[in-house]
Amino acid sequence: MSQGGLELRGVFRSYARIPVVRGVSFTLRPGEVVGYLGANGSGKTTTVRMLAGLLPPTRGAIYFDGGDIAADPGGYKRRFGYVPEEPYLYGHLSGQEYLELVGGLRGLEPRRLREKIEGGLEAFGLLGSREAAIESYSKGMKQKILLAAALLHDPELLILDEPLSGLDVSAVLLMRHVFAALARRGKIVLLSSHALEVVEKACSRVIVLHQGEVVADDSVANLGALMQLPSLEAIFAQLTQQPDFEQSAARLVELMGT
Amino acid sequence: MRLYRYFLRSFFHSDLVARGGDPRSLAVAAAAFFGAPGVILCLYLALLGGQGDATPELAFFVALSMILTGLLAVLAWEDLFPSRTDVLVLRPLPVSARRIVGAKLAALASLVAGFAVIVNAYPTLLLPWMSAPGAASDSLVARMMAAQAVATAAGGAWAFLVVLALKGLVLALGREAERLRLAALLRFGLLAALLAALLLSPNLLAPREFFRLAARGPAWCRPLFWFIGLDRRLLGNAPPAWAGYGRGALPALAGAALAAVALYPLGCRRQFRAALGAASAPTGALARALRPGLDRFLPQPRQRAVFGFAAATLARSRRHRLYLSAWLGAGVAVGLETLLASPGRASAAPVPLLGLPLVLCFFLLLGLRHTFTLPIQPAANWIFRLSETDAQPERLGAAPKLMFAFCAAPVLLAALPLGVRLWGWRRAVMHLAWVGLLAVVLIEVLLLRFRKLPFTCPYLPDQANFKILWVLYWLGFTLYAQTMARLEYREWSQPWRWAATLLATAALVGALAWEGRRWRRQLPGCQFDDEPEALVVTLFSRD
Repeated sequence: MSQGGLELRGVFRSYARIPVVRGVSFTLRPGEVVGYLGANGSGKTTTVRMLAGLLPPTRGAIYFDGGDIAADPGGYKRRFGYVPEEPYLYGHLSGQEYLELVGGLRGLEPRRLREKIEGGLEAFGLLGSREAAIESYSKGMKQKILLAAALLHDPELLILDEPLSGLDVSAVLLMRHVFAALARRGKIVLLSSHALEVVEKACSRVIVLHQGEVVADDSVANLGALMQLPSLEAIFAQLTQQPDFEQSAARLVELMGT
Repeated sequence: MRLYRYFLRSFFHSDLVARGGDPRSLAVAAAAFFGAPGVILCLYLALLGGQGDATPELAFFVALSMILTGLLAVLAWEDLFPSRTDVLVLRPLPVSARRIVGAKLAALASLVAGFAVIVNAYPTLLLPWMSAPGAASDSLVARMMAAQAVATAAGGAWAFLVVLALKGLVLALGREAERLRLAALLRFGLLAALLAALLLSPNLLAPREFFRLAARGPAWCRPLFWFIGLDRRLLGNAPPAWAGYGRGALPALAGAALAAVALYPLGCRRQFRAALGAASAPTGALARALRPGLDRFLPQPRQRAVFGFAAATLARSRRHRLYLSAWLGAGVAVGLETLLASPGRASAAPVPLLGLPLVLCFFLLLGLRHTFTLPIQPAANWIFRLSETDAQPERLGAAPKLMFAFCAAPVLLAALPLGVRLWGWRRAVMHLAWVGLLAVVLIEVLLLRFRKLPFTCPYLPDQANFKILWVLYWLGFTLYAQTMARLEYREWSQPWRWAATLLATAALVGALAWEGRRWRRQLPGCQFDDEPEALVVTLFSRD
């Protein structure tokens, strides 16, 4: 059993006896930003939800700093931050109120919490709309609130499921730098995303999932050299056996045009 | 025609319908619910038999039609005008605004007409037949039926048009934020008032009470008498007093219709404009102002977070406010009924007056406890699950404080000036201490074994067994509001015994609070699901 970081050991998950995640094993070390890639339906989000403690694995176990997370879920929950795939937020609260709710639930003291909220909203350019109800926010603004909420309690592990969807260019750039800064402070960042160019630039390592199984786990440079491919996009396409997109697109347009 | 059907169907789409339940079954259930009072009372009157002056019965049915149609308008408040979704979906299509408004109005007219038939059909057929003199010809009975049909339908239509015009007026006024606040207040007030009126309406069946009201009733009773007068005038044998009332019916109906017709397009235009802008809901200056006080009142961060979330939900969620205002309306009605039933000298501290704050506290606390089980955006409750630690007592401790702050405290504050005026400071403070202690006892009892955070657990319809619960509620109400008021009255003039009663109640509060805290400390966690794992799998299985 590893003593530092997060380890998945032979994790399986099925829905109605249909396996979605099949024996996934990997380890994330402190100071790493790891990209978690896979096509739609590959089991990425299910893995992320198991890591966040929202779903129990059907088989296998998840360890954090050497301890099984199922043995002390409360202790584990205190130590990680999570951004879900869908921006499920309470729309009747304002951005500021939502962050106060999350900070309060995390047990942060009011004065410290307000400083953090102020800084988070300022960094994401949300100070002007802090008192508006979240239901009036754009998707990108909601995503920024989720990211700020996940960082409030200074987590050791950050689990992010499609955190960049809907973000504007400047926010994406900011997030890339935030990931790097967190890694420098010894935090672990798991970034599940379809934005391959961001993953390529931000992550020190990528894990590729295909039909519920890990098919690659290495740095982009090593994978490129091994497979003799120029980019993460090409590596991903080959590993996940993607079809010929040009041909498929031509067929679709022809069908719709008739 | 498609638009008309779409709008008509939208009235029956409710998020309170059971999963898998269809709007048609909701429509049938609603028809049965609203039609039942008329049917039951007709059967009861048929069993009693007897002929003679049926004006009190007619008054009851006209009042029922007006109140229930008014309630329908308040419950369908969000659907009275084209919604934001309607505008966003329909405006990009090649459909003119005039057609959208026309279809909406036609759907509303069909809804009200269908509703009038459900509520009034049975009483209209039976009451004239039962109350007609023995020698009455068939044509006279038919005329009585027609007159009653017109009077009840006109009364209902008047109530609906007034609510429609009020909503149009609110939409046409001020800025978006002010409109939303005003609309919320108006809806809350209308619902509470209509429910109170509904619960008080059976008093009309007592001839003495009815004729007293007709002779010297308050001004707000007048619309009812217009439409009773209309019935009497249509029959052609109206006494002068009723004829006078009846002359007011058509101008009142025309006035309400004119106001609705004038304000509806204006409201629609504002609604269309607002829908195309950002959907902005204000978060309230009051919440911001109260924030520092909240830090002092609730020093534990987790408790403050849950309290703030629940308070914001109660203040901003229309559905939750609507539900709570229904309970408040019931409380107001029962309190008024008790006061009206036993007039006495207030300064002598009669039991009904002492019991009034207890009645209001009972209904509000029970209502809020039920409202806790209605979730707001259940998919967003993951944040409560993920931040769950071993600090359960802290988080669960927010609910009793919220119940006291939102239910007991307003009643106590409202009752204080009245108590001081009637009985002086010393007595008033002792009375309110008693009400406050009993409120805390009720809160602790209502929250026994409650391990959910307010508004975070998905709602499962058909869970509450009302067949058993209403008996418990009735017993609880009798014990809480009536027996306790009598006890207070009995001890009123004996300060030492009264002080001992207060001390004993305080000890009970302490014991209940201690037991509640002990139980919360032992909990493994809060409850977020009433469902087996299958639902969780559905919710989280999309990849």
